[in-house]
Amino acid sequence: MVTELEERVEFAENPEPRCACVLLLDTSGSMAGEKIDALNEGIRTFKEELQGDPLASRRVEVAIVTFDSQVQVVQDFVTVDAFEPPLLHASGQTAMGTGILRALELVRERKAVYKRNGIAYYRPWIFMITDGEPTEPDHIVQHAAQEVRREEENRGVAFFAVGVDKANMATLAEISVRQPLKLRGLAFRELFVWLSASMQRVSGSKPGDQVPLPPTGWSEI
Amino acid sequence: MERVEWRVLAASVQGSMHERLELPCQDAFADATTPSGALIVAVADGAGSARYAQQGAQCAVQAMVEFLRNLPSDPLTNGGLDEWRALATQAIESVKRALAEQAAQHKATVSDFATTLIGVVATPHAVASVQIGDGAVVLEDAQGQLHLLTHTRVGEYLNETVFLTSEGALAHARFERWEGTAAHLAIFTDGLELLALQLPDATPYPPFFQPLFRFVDSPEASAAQLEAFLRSERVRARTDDDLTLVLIGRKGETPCK
Repeated sequence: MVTELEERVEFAENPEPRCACVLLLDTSGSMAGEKIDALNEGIRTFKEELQGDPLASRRVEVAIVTFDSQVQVVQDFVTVDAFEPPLLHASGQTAMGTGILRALELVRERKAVYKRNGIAYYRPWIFMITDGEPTEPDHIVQHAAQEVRREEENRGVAFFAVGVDKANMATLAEISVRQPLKLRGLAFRELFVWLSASMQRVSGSKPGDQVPLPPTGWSEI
Repeated sequence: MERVEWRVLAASVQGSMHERLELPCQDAFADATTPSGALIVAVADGAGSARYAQQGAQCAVQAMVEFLRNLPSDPLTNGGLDEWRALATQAIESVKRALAEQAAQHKATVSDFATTLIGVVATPHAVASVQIGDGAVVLEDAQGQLHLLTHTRVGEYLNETVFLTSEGALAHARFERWEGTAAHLAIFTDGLELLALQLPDATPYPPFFQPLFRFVDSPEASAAQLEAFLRSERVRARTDDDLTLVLIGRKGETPCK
């Protein structure tokens, strides 16, 4: 009877719900050397960790936006199984504000795609990692900060900022509504393991939950 | 007076995510039959983030069932949807009082007991439901047609809902009353929604419900078998949430193959 029940019940064919995550990464000149190497390694870890979770690997969608003198969508949204970690190089200035605006736009576009296709989704995340501060005109940075605040208030996105090395934490605090965190040394691997665990929790969470995120073992206090 | 003997089979299992996070199963269910034979069932899904979610869900289903079974007359005897709405509103208020008492005992806030709640009353002539938060109730009529009795989607995101303890929860409550003879009912928490309902309209998926309804009609069916089904690899590959499924049939129905 048990096996009968298990074999007889069919499941509705619904598209897998999606959990969008933008990695917004500083690839300016100051990131060159061991920092960018550790970041590249971290992104590979991120993929591996998520791939180990069958639900998360179907539900989490990753995109990568880099900012240096240019802003570039290195990877548009893709589910984890189809995600090929890029090899990032570091050079140039820090167009952080423009990068933030591009990431927010990418999230809005993605949500529209979900809606059009009747796909249920979780609140998207933008996860910014930088070792510096914006080198753009103030008004661009302020505009980006305003947009982050507006999206957070409307619960449109959850925006996280992580400072590396000599990052200007005061500027990050002006941009991010959530308390920016400082990476301990080059603990990129730990950071991405944490991010993967957080994504697994969000993508498996049930409605209404303020998902309790795992403790960060990678940040300074 | 016509009387129906109900058969109720229910199972709750802990989701794999809750296992990993070492959280208990935070779903709960309770049922009772009134002296005149109306069936009352309540199902609750405690908020994963609430400190006493498990106790909140347990307290809510018990208080709901207690309130509806102890009325002077059966909940659906008089009137239509409006009367049910008034009655179910009182039921919710009594549940909220029970949660507040629990909170006071634990020196905690009522939001520490956050939970969703679905209450269902079934009589030979009508079925009524009240729902705050997610989950759903599906009903099969005498002709074998499936009806979505109640289901809600609050807000933009999948991981968003309203809890009994949320501010203005009553404004989000959904009340339903269906006139007729229900052959079967299924009440379930949101973990099963994507398996049981076809999006975007949340249409009940017949190949999901029909085998389960045939199952509940069979005399040897047991809650343990239902639980084994919820724990099966096929189910767990599709959801990592806590799952609760209550199946209701009528005794004396002969299962047809």
